[in-house]
Amino acid sequence: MNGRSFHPSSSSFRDPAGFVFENQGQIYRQINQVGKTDFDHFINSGLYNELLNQELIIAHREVEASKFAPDVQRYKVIKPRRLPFVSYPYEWTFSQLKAAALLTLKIQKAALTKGLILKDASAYNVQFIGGQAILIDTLSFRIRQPGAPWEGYRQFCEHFLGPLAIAAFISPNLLKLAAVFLDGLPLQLACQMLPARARLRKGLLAHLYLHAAFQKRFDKAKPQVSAKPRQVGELAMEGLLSSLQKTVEKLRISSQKTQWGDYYNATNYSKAAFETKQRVVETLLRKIKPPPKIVWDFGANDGRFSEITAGIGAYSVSFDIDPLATEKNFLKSRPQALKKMILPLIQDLTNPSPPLGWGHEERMSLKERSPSDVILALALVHHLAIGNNLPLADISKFFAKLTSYLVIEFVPKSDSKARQLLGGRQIQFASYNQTNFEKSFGQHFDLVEKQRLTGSQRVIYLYKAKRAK
Amino acid sequence: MRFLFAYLDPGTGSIVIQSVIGVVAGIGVFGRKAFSRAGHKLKSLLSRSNYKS
Repeated sequence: MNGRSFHPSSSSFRDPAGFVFENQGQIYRQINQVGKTDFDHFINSGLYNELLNQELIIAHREVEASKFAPDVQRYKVIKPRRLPFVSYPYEWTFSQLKAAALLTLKIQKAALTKGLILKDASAYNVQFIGGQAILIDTLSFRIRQPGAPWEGYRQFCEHFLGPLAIAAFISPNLLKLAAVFLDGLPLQLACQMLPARARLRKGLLAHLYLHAAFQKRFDKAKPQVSAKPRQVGELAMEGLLSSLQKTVEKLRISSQKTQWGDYYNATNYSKAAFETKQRVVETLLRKIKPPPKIVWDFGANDGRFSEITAGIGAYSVSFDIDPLATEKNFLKSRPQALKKMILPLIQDLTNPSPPLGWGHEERMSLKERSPSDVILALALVHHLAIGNNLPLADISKFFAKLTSYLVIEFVPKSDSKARQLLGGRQIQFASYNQTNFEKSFGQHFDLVEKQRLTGSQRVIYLYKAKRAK
Repeated sequence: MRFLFAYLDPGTGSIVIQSVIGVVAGIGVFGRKAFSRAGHKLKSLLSRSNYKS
């Protein structure tokens, strides 16, 4: 493979205006001749700078295109800022999806003032840097012809409004459906799922119910050649966007209790024991040289240990299985510097995100997004080993594939939390003990240090993956 | 013709409904703007008459 070759990203094949590609481990975006006029207007109108100053769009710089293999379709090549971690809508909480929806509408409004319009409204065009949603598709803008409707309106309703409505009216757990309906939740299906009272919201009545009815009526109808194209004037477009914004803003999830949503309030840790644990974890993390740049915190709950890893300068992906605990983590008030370093995401470790989309290559699996420098697995192993019957050796093997270092807490069977999981199954988990734990993790990791938490039988280990030598 | 260069199928039904919602919501936007302009005008007239007296 020569250094000039370029490989279009497998998730970037839809838009003829350009595509994302990889060259020698770096990510670039090619702008094709077809997209030249729109891209130039996007830059020259000042929209790019305006959005960049508000941190609403990914930063990029132009690079010399001649260093890549020739391509007659090419106009320019840009190099976007690299994201610390790529996440997907089926891993986001309700408020993250809502933030992404409102970002899309805000950018659309700004674009219209410059004579441009977003040509699509895919949730996959949005990424998070910590708590901040940003648009990553620099090629989403097109010069708006007077009276032109929004081509991405249907996509907006299917990617954002429908999923947000079913999460608000039924359960935030349903946001996982995005992994099944990768190209958006069909509106007809969203309407079938929603309770009748959702029709009382005029925004939902218009953008979901009537929208679905109009799709049914018109989408399969024969195109009428003589039919006058529909016009959406400036005032009408402003009205449409305001209506969408109000509808999205009004959607909220109820603060129902989940298994983990109230974990730290219901825990049996004393304040002093908890502070000791925080101190031990920080001491172990500071022993890692060079200091970690990216940490994956599994079972992060409201992210209080991610705050420690972010505090030592590591971008911290704060995973939890519980949508409400993760929601709490995302909405938690933190200093700005810390907020930019913590990305809360929903992730079920016993069924982690698989590769999805065309050719299994459009959306990366969790494993494909590794390695992390450190995995933090605090108060987690007993849930995997006892709660999910996973052998300790398998847990160790899986973590070793994902990380260079591991900070893991062993919770013995005598611990009240482990006893809850065991129920009456003591005999079945005879091999769940500290000796077997150390033996299993010793297969794939070298022990750097272990510390017993005072006043507890729990032990925290710092391991280094054997392949990371 | 309008969507000759669209890579996304906008859907005929979605175009029709957005123009309908746009007109209704647009009237609301127009009303709010007119109301706010009238309010401003009234305010400036009142403050001018206060100044004169």
